[in-house]
Amino acid sequence: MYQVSRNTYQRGLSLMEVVISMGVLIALFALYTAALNTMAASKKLRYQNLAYHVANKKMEELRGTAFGLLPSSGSISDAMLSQIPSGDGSFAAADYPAFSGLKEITVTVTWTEGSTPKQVQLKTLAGSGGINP
Amino acid sequence: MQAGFTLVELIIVVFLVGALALVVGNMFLGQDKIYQTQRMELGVTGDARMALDDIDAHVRAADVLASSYSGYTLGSQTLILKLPAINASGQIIPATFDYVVYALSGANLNRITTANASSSRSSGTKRVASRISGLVFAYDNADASLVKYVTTDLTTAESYAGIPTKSITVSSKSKLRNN
Repeated sequence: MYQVSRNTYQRGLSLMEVVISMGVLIALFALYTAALNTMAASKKLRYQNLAYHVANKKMEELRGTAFGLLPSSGSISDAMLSQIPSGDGSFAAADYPAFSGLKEITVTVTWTEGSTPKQVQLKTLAGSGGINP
Repeated sequence: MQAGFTLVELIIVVFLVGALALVVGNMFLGQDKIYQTQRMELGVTGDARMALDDIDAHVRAADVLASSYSGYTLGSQTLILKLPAINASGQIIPATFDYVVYALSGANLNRITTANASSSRSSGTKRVASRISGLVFAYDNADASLVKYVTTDLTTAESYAGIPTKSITVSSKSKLRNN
């Protein structure tokens, strides 16, 4: 029996060989695509970071504006927006419902990722005499 | 009985080894490129954000700008802040001040703190960010004692052979306390 099998010629690949080589190839491919995914993730973070800074800067400006001079709405022009794909920003200051002398300031920055619309929005309240006691 | 390889077998083996080496080598180089790109991206964005947040936090806590302090002069790349000193529980100590200077040293942005003896802030130099390729502080008034807003434009960049340079420009505007 032993003699026979030793002298038998093997044709083609054994199942084990095919399975192992496929496994190695799949593992390599998985590693490669995983690395590519992190590229997309870091790009996403970059745009979020920039959008947040645009909104934050505008918010700081609006918070420093006197209550009576707050514009009711407007668009944001900022050099940082050019670093974001179709980056655009706007703000609005609307009367806060049921309170007089109180306005809600909303700053919105929008952009697109591929074709998905994304946005960052910051909100705060402004009062005519300051809202802190 | 056959001894050794035939020519055809040898050619096939050489070809297979070559093809495999090409594929694996390519993958290895590609991975290295991805790794370097990622490392630069994270470093550049992280540094920019860290520096800007640090500057903002200190500007908001500052009373007023100083036009010069211990060899530094207020300018477009040097920011000198005069902050009220705080005790261990974060309360302001009256008429006592700490000085914080932001200054470039090559591509590094340093924060140099000179704290009053009674202040809970600690004196010393801290590197806030490296990889700085552009920094501009702008003030809304030419007179340092009248400045209300500080605008900071900051660019960080890093390059690596064979990969496009990574850079980011962020800016912020922060208001002094102006007590």
